[in-house]
Amino acid sequence: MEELPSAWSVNRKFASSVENASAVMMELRQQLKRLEWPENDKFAILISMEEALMNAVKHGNQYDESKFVDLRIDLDRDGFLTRIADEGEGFDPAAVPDPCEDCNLERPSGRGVALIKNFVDEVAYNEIGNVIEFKKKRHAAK
Amino acid sequence: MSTYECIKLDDVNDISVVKFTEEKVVDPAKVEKMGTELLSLADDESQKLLLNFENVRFFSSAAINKLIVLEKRVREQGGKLRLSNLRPEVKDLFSLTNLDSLFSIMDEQSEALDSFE
Repeated sequence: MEELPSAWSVNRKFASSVENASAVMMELRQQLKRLEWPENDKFAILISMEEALMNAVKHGNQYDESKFVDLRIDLDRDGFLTRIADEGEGFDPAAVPDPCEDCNLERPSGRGVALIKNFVDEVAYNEIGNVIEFKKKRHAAK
Repeated sequence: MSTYECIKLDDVNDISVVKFTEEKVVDPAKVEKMGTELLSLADDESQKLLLNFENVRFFSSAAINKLIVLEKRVREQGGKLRLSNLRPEVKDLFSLTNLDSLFSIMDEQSEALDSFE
C-alpha cells in the first residue's frame, strides 16, 4: 500500500518582523509542494497567508519585535487550517469598507481582508479582531 | 538616465513599457520602493504607461494599492495606463476585488500597445 506523505503542523510564536513572516512563508511553500497541492490551491493559501501574516506583523503588532505572532497551522494532503493571533488592538472586519464596491475601488484599505475571504473556504475572527482563523480544502484534481 | 531596482523600463513607440524584476512583489520595503519608482514615471503629462506582468507570480494587496495610486496619478495627468500578460491567478487578484473595472487589463502586450492608439 502506498504510503502517504506525513502531515505538517506548526505551533509557534515569533517576533513581529517581516523576515520571520517570510521564513514561515518559505516553509509553507515547501510543505505545500511536498504534499503535492495543486497550483491554484497553493496560490490561494499562500496569498491568504501572506496577507494575514503581514496584517499581524504590520497592522496588529506595528513591526514591534517585542510583540509576538502566535501561529498554528495544520496541513495535510486534504486540507489547510490556520490560526494567527497578534498582540494588537484588533479591528472590526465588518466595519472595513468593501473594497469591491465601486465607490471604494480607490481606497487603499480592506483589500487584503477581501482577498482572504475570496480565496479560502471559511474565515473567522475573534471578538476584538486580533485573531484570524481560516481553512481551505484541497480541490479535486482536474 | 534613471536606474530602477524593482522595475525594468523600455520605450516602445513612445509608450513606457514596465516589467517587474521580481516574481514576488510582497515584501513591504520592496512594495514601497516599487510604488515610488512607478509614480516617478507618472510625473510626465499624457504619459502612456504599460505594465507587463509576465514575470510576476505573486502580488500582495499592498502592491495592488500602489497600482491604484499610480492609476489615479496617471489619469490626473491626462495619461493612460494599461496592464498586460497577467497569469490567471494574478488576474484573479484584480477581478476578485472588482479592480478589473478600474484597470484596463489586456491579455498580451501587443494588444495593450495597440489600445493606446
